[in-house]
Amino acid sequence: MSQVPIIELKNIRKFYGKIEALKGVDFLIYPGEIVGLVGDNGAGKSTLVKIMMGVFPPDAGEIFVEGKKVNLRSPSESRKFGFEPVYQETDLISQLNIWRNFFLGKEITKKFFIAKFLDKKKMRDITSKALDNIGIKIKNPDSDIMALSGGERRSVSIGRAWHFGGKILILDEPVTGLSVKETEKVLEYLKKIKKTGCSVVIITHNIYHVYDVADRIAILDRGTKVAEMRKEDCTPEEIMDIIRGKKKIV
Amino acid sequence: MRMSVLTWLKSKPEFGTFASFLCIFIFFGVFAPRFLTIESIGSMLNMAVELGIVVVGVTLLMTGGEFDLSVGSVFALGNFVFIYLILQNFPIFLGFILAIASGVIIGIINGWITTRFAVPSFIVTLGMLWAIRGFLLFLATKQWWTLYGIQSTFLDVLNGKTFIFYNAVFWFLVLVVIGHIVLENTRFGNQIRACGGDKLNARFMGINVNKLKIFTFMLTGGLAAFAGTTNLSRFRYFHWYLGVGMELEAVAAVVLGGTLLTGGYGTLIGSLIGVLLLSMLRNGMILLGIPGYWYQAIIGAFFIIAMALNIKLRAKR
Ligand SMILES: Nc1ncnc2c1ncn2[C@@H]1O[C@H](COP(=O)(O)OP(=O)(O)O)[C@@H](O)[C@H]1O
Ligand SMILES: [Mg+2]
Repeated sequence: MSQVPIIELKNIRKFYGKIEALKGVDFLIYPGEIVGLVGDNGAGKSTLVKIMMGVFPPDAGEIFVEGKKVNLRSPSESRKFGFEPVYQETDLISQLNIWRNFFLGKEITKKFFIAKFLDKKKMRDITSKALDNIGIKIKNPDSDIMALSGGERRSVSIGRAWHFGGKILILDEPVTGLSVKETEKVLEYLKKIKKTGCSVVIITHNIYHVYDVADRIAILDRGTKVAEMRKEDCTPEEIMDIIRGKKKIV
Repeated sequence: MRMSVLTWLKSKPEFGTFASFLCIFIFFGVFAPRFLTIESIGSMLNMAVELGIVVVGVTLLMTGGEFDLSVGSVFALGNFVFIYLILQNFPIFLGFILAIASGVIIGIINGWITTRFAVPSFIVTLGMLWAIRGFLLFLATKQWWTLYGIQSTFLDVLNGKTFIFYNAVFWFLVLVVIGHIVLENTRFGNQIRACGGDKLNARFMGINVNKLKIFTFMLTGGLAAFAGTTNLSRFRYFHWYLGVGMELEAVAAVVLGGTLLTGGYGTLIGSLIGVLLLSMLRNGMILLGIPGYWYQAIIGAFFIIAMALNIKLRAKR
């Protein structure tokens, strides 16, 4: 591809104390592409997500956004670049209702004399519409998050990422822990999102979850990228073998 | 229709406290002589305001998931800085500003230590409570501090008496309204709630948690010192013991009102009711002629019962 990648990570290293979670990883994402980032638990996938989202900086390595070298100092900077996350271990904030969660950090305000106040009506409408778009039926954007099932919560997170994600959606284990039916639903969303031309990174330890939708697949193993291929070039079974460490690669 | 109004009321976290407020109001109205007079209502409000002003800050802070146990000491510090500067012949307005600034600075220190070193604010502000109180003991016990003989329009406006109310009642109510709007209708309010609900998650979504927290500590310190200045304007003397125990009364009023002790949800309307409830209890007991040494025991028992009912009501929703 002759395009400029939206984000390019070069030789990224990250330590947690003595544990080296990423041992010099290169990773890039082109516009409009769906990338499956797969690997066993502990491979370093979530760590890579957090570096792309600016949660913490890498200990070594460089990050380029659309060709320019950057330091991603906080999630709000990454969000400004159009990267939207659905994190693995954290979810929505249960004390805030749906629309407050949806717009957290990106609240819409309107000016009234000198002060800016939340435009609640607009945010409620947009929340309903955005969730409706992706196929999530929410009766009332004022509902408690506590009233939603695990799958519904995940759907709201994905709907939020999709709504705000100008450039890349980064979904860390979006279907882990969901029932079979909920998983199918989320995979449906992913197909819809793919049609819109937004880039998506789907992180998973189960290749079957992404094989259908992915264009390209990268495999992490204990902090190292051990393989990367276009989907056409391999079967899911081969990828499973690589993840399990049965097959050594190119 | 009436049913739905009741359902709506019941769905509010302030409902429990509001209900206790009404019951106790009616109880005193029936049994306490002169309880339902303008003077009595006035004195109830007058007794509530200093604590009330402090509680506005504490509500925002606790919504954000932090504590400030130093507010009683900062209240005393505000009194002290103000009276000290006035007696040093500083322009009174400048003294007022510097007194508030002293509270803001304490707030910044509390917030900075809490966020920078990840020490729980409960600990940091407990230390600050002692540190300031000790400092005042050292500085302020060698002489009488009084503004006797000093005339000042500024002090009269700040907290003179208008009709039967001290002016601070007005500042208090204005602050409650502003606090309510901030919490319900601004980005700051939304993000404070998010920090209190789950600060890791809030940070992951791009919220600058530490900055917000330090800001709410500043606000809390500033308001506690402001309450100190209104207190001084009213009583015109300073004693190092002012504000002892205020921090816990503030927490009590805030949680009585429906703000979560654990953060993530807060209500200024609830806090207003909570503050009034505490001062109504005191006022009612005075009018009933209950001996003063019983007040604490009765308020303590009431507090436990009211909170148990509150929590039960909330679980039902
Ligand atoms: N906050 C942390 N502190 C210490 N070690 C961590 C932390 N987060 C992850 N690790 C370690 O880093 C490695 C990679 O973790 P992670 O990125 O979560 O992997 P994955 O998402 O692929 O399962 C693991 O060995 C994990 O134990
Ligand atoms: Mg992970």
